[in-house]
Amino acid sequence: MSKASKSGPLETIIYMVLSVCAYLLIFFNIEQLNQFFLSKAVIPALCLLGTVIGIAFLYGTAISHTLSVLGLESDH
Amino acid sequence: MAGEAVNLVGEVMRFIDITPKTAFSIAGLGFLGGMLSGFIGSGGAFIMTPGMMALGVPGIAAVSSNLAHKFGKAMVGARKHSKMGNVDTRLGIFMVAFLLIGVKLAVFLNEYIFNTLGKSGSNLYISLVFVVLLSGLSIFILRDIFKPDHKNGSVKPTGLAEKLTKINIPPMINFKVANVRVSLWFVAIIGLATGWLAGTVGVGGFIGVPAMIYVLGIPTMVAAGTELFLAIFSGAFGAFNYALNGFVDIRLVLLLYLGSLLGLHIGANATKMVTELQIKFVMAVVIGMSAVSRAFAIPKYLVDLQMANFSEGVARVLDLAATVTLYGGAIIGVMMIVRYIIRFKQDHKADTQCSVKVP
Repeated sequence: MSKASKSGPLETIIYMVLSVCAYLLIFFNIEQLNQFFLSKAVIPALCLLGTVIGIAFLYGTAISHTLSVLGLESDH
Repeated sequence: MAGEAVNLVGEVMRFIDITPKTAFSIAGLGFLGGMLSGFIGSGGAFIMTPGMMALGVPGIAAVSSNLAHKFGKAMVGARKHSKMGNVDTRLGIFMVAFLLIGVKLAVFLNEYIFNTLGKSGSNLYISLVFVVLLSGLSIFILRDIFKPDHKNGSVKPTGLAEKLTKINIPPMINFKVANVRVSLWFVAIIGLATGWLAGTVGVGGFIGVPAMIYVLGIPTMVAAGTELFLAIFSGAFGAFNYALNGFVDIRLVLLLYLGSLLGLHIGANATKMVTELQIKFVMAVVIGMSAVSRAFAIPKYLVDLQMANFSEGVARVLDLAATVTLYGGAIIGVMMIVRYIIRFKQDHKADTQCSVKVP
């Protein structure tokens, strides 16, 4: 990943911190979030998928950056 | 918990309690699935879905959470894959229409079985599909590995694709990137089958990619690229439909990501150090063991549904065997990958030393 290979440690740390915050935010508020996500309507279903994409992006970028900093980047 | 799915047989579908042990197990499953997925280029759902079921997650929740997990990953990777130029957009668009019908059919069927037969009925249905699909696929890959043509290094597609391209059932469509001209009906059947599988067990590429290669005669890279394009739609549509009925457990999705995104990179890195045959061998072992694991799990579901009568001890032993074979298969697969990497590094080191000695 060319973009990842240019990334510095600061960017990696930012993505990592953001991912940790997102995970903590979701797991500490899971009861309220599930009340909304599991309410069987279109908007909650879309929000759930949006949250999944957001987490995949944040954590995926953090991992990709971390591995590229360690010299272990892949084509994924 | 508000919004829990209530089925017609009076069972309330409850998401499992996430203890530190469960969380670690699910993240570990994600890692194994991700590593195998990065290594063999497939979804990894054949390990993650049965693995979650073995941990007590209802089959329908495991499939829907896995679809959401696959969708998020596919969305993030979509931009990169579109740049690779391996996607036949025309083929993808034609297939998507039938793929979505297949997904909708699978979601309807899964929900219907869950509502009428309960959690055990749903688990039995998903496990049966896994056993048939995975054992067939494992045998197919093993035959491919030991085929004499393959040993000589030639990768010649079967004559089936040639025969099918000669069958002229209108409308015939020309796909430029894939460089084939086939009947829309064959595309429709493959699209429907891929969608149905994606909606039923969370992974459709198992059928989609081989079918595109061996039935339609599409080059491997284009088939894999087009399948990735389709995975976004099957994942999104399937996850959305299941989420509408409250089956997606976001905690499972996030825990799977913890391991899978890391494993994916490691597995993908490993592909640079192995041969295609080694990749196929790992694939056959892991998929075969996963099929055996689901076969061991079936008697328990039959007992729960009062369709068979096993003693509690036998059911427990078989259940344990299901868990052991599943995790055993995944661990053996990962160990094989690690062994291939070590051997590659040793050979590489020896080559470097030789080249230094001989100027």
